[in-house]
Amino acid sequence: MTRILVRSPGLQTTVQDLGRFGLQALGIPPAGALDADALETANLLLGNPRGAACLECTLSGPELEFSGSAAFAICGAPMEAALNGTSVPLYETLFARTGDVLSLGAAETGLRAYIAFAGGVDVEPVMGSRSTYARGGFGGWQGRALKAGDTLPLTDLEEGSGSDRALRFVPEELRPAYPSEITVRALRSHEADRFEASSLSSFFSQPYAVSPKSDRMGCRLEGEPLTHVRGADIISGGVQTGTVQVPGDGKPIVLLADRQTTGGYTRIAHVIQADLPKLGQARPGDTVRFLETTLEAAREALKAREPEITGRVRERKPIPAIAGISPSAPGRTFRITVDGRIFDVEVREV
Amino acid sequence: MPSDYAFFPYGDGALIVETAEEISEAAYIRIRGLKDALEADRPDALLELIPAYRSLLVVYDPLKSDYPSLETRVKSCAAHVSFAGSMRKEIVRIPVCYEGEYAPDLEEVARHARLSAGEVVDIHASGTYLVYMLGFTPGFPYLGGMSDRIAAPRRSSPRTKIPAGSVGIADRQTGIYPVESPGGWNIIGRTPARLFDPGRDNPVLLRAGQHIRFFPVTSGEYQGISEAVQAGAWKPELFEEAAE
Repeated sequence: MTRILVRSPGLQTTVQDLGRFGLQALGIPPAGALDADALETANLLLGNPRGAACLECTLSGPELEFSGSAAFAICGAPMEAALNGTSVPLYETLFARTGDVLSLGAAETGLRAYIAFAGGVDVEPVMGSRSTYARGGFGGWQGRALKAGDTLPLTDLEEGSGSDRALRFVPEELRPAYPSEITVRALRSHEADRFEASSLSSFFSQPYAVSPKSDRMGCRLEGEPLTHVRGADIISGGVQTGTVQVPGDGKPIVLLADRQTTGGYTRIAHVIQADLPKLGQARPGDTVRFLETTLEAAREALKAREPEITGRVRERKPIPAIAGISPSAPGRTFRITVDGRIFDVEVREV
Repeated sequence: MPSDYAFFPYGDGALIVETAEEISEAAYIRIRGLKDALEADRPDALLELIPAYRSLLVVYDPLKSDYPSLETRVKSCAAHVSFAGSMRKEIVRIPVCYEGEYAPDLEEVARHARLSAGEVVDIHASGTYLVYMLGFTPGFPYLGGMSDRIAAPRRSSPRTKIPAGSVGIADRQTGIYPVESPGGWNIIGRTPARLFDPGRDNPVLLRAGQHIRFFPVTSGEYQGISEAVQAGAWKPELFEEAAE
């Protein structure tokens, strides 16, 4: 079994999958990747199940040493990646051998990068998910962000994980960009009339700045304060990822994956599911705008997500037959690795 | 009483059902009745139900159903709600040590209530508390039913660390901390029961809709139960009573 030794953890690196669901009535938050699009893309590059557990790296990445061979891929916020000091591409199936060291630098744009490994990170699932919920101290690796010296097991590929050895990549033009100004679509809440009309229109027009106090629990926003009609507090009730609640200070908080399951602040809107990954990539100081949309448009956007993600991933074509060489001629194929990139080499008699 | 419910979209993956804007057993019973009805006759697209004081969040998969169809489905369920589920009270007995280091604010609550510490404990342990909902932290029960006689304001300066199992009073509410966390409640005792243990098959001890009765134990008994809890050999006593 290949293990990953954490030589340095990066700012905040956690094991995440798509989260644990169905337990919110017990007060258990979903957790899971804040940019599920990037996590799923990374898994697809390796032929993994879509929601296999990955490492979510925040702002700056870790330095990892491989105890054996492993295929891996990096997606999401572009962080300069190097294998044994030599730069390697993002959005591509890569390969490491025993003793190789992968290091990720700081994100040039965006906030979170995802490192997927063929087979996935093999930590024990807790309540149906491998996602870390650090606030509750469970899930992922020992319920916390990684520290230097941790050794994470990878799933043994012989155990049949569905992963394969195909080489895949996402063409440059199909990779998501992470601009510092984003617009996310949102649906008005049934409590919108608990805000002054001018505040409601201000919410859907003003540029907000992402606060440095934002974390995996919520994207906190700074801007012109909103005014409640009957106070900020409501009788506590269930919330969802993407729910925008507004406490007494009038500054909206978009709830993210590590949020509480119930909340007691008035809700002004809900960010649509298809746009949540954008918020997962918003870094402190970035600008966020909310665009009001409809339930129908939200559903269409969610439907479009699946073909968009699967459509990004391309397979490297086998080398076409060379003129004059019979494809049936005796020969051998080799797989060689140079600086993390894999080459399939065919040798035939002429 | 279908007219007691109002239905609204709640983002693109949920519907919220609301009833009277109050914290009351009557509101709770309406929410509980609808939750039971939806669990008995689950819509295909249903992902989960999150009950609260006066609302029920119906989380669905928008790729399997659209909002109008789901609303029609939930409304037809609401028209046939039976409140039979609330006719029985399921009572969970929770041991609490109201002594010494486990009860740092008991004297303060007693002073505020102009009662003796013993009277505060008697009142707290004689109540029956409804678990309206779970939330805040994993397994945290929002309890209703505490006597106003032992109500006490939150501490002016919250503690940074309150041990798991601490039983507290804040204003007219009582509660139990499932995990160690900061907090401003007045701590009047501690239970050796673990309300949340992610390593357990059944990580959360309580369910919304159950009732709790606290019973005082000595610090010696606390230790004994605590060891049984650690060994996985303790379960709370559960019994049923007919509702009045």
